[in-house]
Amino acid sequence: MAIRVLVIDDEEDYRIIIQEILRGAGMEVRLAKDGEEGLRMVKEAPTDVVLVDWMMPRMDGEQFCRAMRAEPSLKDMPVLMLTVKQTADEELEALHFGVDDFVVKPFKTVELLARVRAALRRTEKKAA
Amino acid sequence: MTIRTRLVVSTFLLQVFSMGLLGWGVLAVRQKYQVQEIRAVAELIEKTVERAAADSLIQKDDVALLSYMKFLQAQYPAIAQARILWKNGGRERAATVGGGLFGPQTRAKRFTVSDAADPARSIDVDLSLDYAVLEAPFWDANKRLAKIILSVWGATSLLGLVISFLIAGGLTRPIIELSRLAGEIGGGKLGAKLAWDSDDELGGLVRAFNGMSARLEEFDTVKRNFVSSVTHELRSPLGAIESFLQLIRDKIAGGTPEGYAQSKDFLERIAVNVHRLSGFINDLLDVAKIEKGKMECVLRPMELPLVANEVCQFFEAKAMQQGVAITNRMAVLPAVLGDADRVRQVLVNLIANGLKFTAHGGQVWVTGEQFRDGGARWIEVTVGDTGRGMDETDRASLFQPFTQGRNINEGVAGHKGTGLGLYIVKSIVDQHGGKIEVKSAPGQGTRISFSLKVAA
Repeated sequence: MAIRVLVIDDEEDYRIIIQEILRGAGMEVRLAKDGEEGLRMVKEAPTDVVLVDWMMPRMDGEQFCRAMRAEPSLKDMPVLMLTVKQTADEELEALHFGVDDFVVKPFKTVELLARVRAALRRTEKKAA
Repeated sequence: MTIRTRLVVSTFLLQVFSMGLLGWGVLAVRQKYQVQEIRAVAELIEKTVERAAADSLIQKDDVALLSYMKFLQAQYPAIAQARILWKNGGRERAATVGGGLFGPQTRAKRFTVSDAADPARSIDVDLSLDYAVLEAPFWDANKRLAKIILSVWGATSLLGLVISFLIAGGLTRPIIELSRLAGEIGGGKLGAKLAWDSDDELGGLVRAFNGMSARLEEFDTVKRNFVSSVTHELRSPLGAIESFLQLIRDKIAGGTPEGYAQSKDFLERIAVNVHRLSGFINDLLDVAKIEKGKMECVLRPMELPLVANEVCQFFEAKAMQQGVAITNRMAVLPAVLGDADRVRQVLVNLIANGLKFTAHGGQVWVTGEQFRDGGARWIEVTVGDTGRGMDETDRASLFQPFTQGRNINEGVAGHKGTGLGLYIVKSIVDQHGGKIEVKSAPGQGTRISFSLKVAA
């Protein structure tokens, strides 16, 4: 079964780029423009991994993560944060509100895919 | 030596010295008057003795004088000795009262009383008064006074020491705190403040210091905002360009017709991102020019409606895509003095902002009105929109560099902007000698007007 990914980013360019890369690797991709829409979509249909941008209008990546982690059914879903922020402090802060890993923009195709797969592997291990 | 120690020591020394001087002065003055009082007592005794001698001469009662002298000596212990010599013609009789001496410690006085009716009769008296006895009561009083002065001296010096210690402490405490804070600020803890409020110079110093600290923090925030927006504004399009290029490479390698079609779309997107990057870099260069005071506008007569038309046309496609109507409502206007490129930049910025914050079904428009200010004729250009508007706080910081409305990205997708546009706009209008103002309220749309001088 194909891996189902939800991509949440306010920038259309990045939505298209990520969608293109993930589809190229045979994954199923759904797109959301902000945290609110993303939260609705993650509840709507089964999802394996979420890619969420940090800086977004309405509901940013941090608010999204906190809201998602508050849902018991979504507590263990792997979340990758897309960011241009890079300071160690900020990454540490993000780990606290429930981010599993980071993808720093700009990223390479192989890096994005590797990080998504690694996040999935970790959850599978946990489940087993 | 600390300021506090110096203050305490100097006040203490001053106190000791001044109180000592005062005490010494009091005693000296007192002694001066004392000498006169002693003399007055001595003269009183001498007068009494002289009168007694005269009385006894008149009453011809020698024995009475002798016994009166004895009584006087008992009365006034200061009388050391009195020698009485009675003379009556050739006859002389002498008597001595008191065992004291004549000498340097005594005041000696000789007086002679004679009978006016019988000049052969006279009495000579040699009186010696002992200074030590005369002065004794005064000395006792002086000692008591000296004791009082000494204890007051000691007490006030001690009190002065304590008070100066406390006052000096109060004075130096904010100074010590301030130097500690300055160290902290130097160490990077910007915005540190001292809670100290007084109406004096120190209060002023603390207020000035706190103000400085707040300013530094503000600068730091501006710097952080700047770095973060520059980082975002550079990285984001660059990253997108890089990724699109890679995708295009893959599509070309794939060699499918859909791949070619997609590649064309990706190329368009690369073009938009490159445009965004170069726009941002131009803004940064403009800000650098403004900060150096090198933003120069060459003012020549120019046709505003033409430039406004050009800009409106430039945005037409974007506005249509967004479902916003864009109209140039400028009628025929006299030529204004302006730098056409810079005026165009102003209009582009203002209209782009208007579009950014106006939702589907809204409107953006440009108008131009003539007005007179004194003798000069001006044209006021207004860019208006039916967008979401802004509140007082956002209006106040609108033209500050690197600041953006607090909820600027609320419901605005895509480019976040850098907060440089309106700062540049204001600088350009300033360079033209015009004024810029904003009318806006939340939900009421925004109108930004600027004025340009009509060419003579």
